[in-house]
Amino acid sequence: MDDLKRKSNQQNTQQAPQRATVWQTFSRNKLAVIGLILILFWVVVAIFAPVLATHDPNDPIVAEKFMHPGEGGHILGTDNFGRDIFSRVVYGARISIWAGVISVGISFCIGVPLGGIAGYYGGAIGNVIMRVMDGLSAFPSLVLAITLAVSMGRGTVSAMVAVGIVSIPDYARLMFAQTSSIKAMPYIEAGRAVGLKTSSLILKHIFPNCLSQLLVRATLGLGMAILTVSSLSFLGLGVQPPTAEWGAMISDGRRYIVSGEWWITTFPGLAIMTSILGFNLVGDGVRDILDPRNRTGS
Amino acid sequence: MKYFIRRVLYAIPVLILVSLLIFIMTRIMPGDPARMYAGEQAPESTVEQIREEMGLNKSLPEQFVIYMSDLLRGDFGYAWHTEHEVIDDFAARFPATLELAICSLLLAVVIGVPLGILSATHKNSIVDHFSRLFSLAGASMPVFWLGLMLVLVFYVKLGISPAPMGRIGNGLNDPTHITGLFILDSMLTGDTAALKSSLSQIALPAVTLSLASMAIITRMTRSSMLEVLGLDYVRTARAKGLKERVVIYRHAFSNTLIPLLTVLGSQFGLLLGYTVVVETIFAWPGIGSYVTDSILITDYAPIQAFALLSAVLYLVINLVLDLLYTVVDPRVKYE
Repeated sequence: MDDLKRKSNQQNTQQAPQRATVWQTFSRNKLAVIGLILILFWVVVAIFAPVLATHDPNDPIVAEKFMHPGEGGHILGTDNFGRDIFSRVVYGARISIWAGVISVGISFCIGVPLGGIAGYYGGAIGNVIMRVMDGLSAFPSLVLAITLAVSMGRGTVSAMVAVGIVSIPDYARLMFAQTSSIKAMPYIEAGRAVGLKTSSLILKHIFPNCLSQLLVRATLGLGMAILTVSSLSFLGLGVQPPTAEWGAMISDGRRYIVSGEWWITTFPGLAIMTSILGFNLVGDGVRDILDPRNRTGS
Repeated sequence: MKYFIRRVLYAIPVLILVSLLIFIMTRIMPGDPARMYAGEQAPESTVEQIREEMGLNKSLPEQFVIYMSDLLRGDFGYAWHTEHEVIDDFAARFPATLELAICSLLLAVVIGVPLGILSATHKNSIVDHFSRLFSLAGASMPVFWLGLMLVLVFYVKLGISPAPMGRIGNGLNDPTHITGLFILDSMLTGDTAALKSSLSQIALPAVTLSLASMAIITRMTRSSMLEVLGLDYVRTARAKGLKERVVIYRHAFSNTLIPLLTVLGSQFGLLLGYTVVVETIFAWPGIGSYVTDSILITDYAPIQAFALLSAVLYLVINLVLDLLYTVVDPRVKYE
């Protein structure tokens, strides 16, 4: 067990390559570039949703229920209320990306300081913080997200907060591990000797050293957050109708799979998949750049 | 042994913490549980009485003590939508979930591991490209969508699969209850009709539930195999003239077991979460669909019990896996 730990510590302390070569290395990784394109695609779609949408995403047209893709000017067809699927998918990008960014933001902004404090001070404070993190990660993540979302009541905000809380331990652990190893280094001691404040030591001298790993975590976390929020919406917990959200759209269309109206569920699912794929590919690509050992592995 | 005891002792504070977290969650939830229990129309005096019965007017520490002693007695609350004790509902539905989980985990390992090995030994071949594409897609696909797409293709379009409704086909009786696992029970009783039906019923949900884990296991096996295959002792084994199969399975693969066990542990947690979604899609009468039902009508007790029990199960599984490390790798010693 100790062996394993030492091994992972070695990995963590490996130096990142110089800034100039990062983009070159990244762009050589074709999959990562594809991932970046996918992310940019969905970001552009989200920003220009009002321009791209051909119909009002929430406007039911009773006469145009269950139209096939392409029929009556509906590129991807219409759903059981006669709403245009294309416009709903386009607007759904806004909610999903927002939900992802906000929940990752919550985990990041709470997890990083907690991990930093626990790592820097250690002792009783550190122990209490990290044990609470252990408690949080003792739950399977989707189970905890469901329970939190139920406790806070249905709705977009509570789903985002729930997903955010679930991942706090990931960031806290990373920051904790880095901080507790960096704080013993001479330059931190020197900083303390010249009288720097603890907060500025953590923020300006320790945090930047952890940033690259935290960013990889956050990129992969964005994909995971989008997935979890849409799963919550699918279960009826997250985004509430009639707001266009991919998971909720799939939940709406679920009943019509058996009768053959496949497009209601298929297109929002493809949207979720491609956006998550984008974040996963970019996250993997960046991790490969930071960890040379992984490069042989993929 | 000493290590084992220490690990079990260490799990106790985590468990207390886990129950405390759930307790806090039940107290921050909006609305008044007593009011919800009594119903909207109930007069204030009734609500007050229920509040007293539920112990809600005691101080928070007192409530926590009562809550903990209830848990220790196996009292996980009352599900008003089924009008049963939560623990009884769980017991009744557990075999269905267990059967699904076992089948999925088996599928994930039986397909994922060989695919990962093949992909590593034939790096950059078609198999390798396929397996990498597969693990990428599998890790990015929402489970609930995958389930619906499988229903669309195999039930609606091709008509090979039965309707996604439960564990056994219409018109068939459940096999005689022995273990509660339909596949096993129908084999034990020699009920071929039930066996056939339960196998075809479980196929799609099991595939759905396993795909994400299968993808991760494939990926993990591939990368740890690649790493090990590049090591000197593997070259030595080859130089000795050992058969390639022996080199790969005995020498290389046995050294990837530790990361594999670690991944299996985390997959278990993933599986527990996804059963909620998958069981809902396939109307599988397990704990997952019970939780979804409870979510839809806001019955809190089953959801909290589910969270608590899955955390306990997750801890136990990871403890067992930790101990298995010593079995698969004699170099790992716990002192």
